[in-house]
Amino acid sequence: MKTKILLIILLFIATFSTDIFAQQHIQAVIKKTESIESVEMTVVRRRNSETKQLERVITTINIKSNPSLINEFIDAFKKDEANATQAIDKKKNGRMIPEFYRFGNFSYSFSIKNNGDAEINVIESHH
Amino acid sequence: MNNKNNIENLIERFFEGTTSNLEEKQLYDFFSKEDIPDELKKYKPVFEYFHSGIIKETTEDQKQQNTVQKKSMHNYKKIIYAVGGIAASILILFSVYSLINRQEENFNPYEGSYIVRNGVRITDYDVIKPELEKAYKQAMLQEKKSETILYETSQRDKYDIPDVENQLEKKYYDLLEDIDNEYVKKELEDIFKSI
Repeated sequence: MKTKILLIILLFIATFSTDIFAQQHIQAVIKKTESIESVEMTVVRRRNSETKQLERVITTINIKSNPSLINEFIDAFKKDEANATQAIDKKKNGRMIPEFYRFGNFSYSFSIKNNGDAEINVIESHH
Repeated sequence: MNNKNNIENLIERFFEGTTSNLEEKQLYDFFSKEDIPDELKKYKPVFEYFHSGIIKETTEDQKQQNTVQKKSMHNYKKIIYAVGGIAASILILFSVYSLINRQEENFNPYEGSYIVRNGVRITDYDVIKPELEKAYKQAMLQEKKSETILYETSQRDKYDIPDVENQLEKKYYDLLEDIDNEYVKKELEDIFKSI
């Protein structure tokens, strides 16, 4: 009986944590960028004006003059690609780089500017 | 005899209205007895009325008066309670309305947002508000663009429309693989990148 209850609880946790584990490499790199000074991060928590409920959490990461960090992000996207529900890659300078990835309620967009800077947008939907 | 004279005197003064309460009580007690002198029996009904009838009427009047007073008090209380209840309801409604209005005025759709710049977290809403709105709009635009691409891709797959760009890219990689000369390979790569 106890084993059954434990299994049910584990399955319950697994169902809701699938999204998080699916993008673990990307999330790990994002966590790392929080402490890097050359990275600017904007976190927008947007609430619906009528319902007052949290609609979206948007994290925008701007990376300047840090090609190694940009490559880390590209590698992280490639590692998590298999778990993405939707994935769009784009060729830039002879290289396939991620453009848009979706993992359940999370969506990521990645772009590299001509000057080598990169921008990553993470949108977490709450509806 | 003296008593009879006394009573006659009291009767005369009673009708003149000069008797005291005590003297009137004497008259009432006298005429409440059975053995009254014959010449005074004619006054018995009068004093019986004055004694019991007035009391009875007074009591009934008082009862009626009390009833009327009670009723009017009851109605008065009802009105007070009704007015008080309406006033309390209006006050409660007004308070709720004011509270809701204040909450709406204080509502910040970006509550909890921040910017990290040069390792410093900035939370001052007035300072970061324009950047928050810009970041929000750009993110929505990017998402919309991505969804458009996804839709176009799905439509292409659905209707089996050949993906010319991917086919060309595949041929390009196949061609490069066949070339052994590194210099030529590099030149071709540069040409394709510029397309």
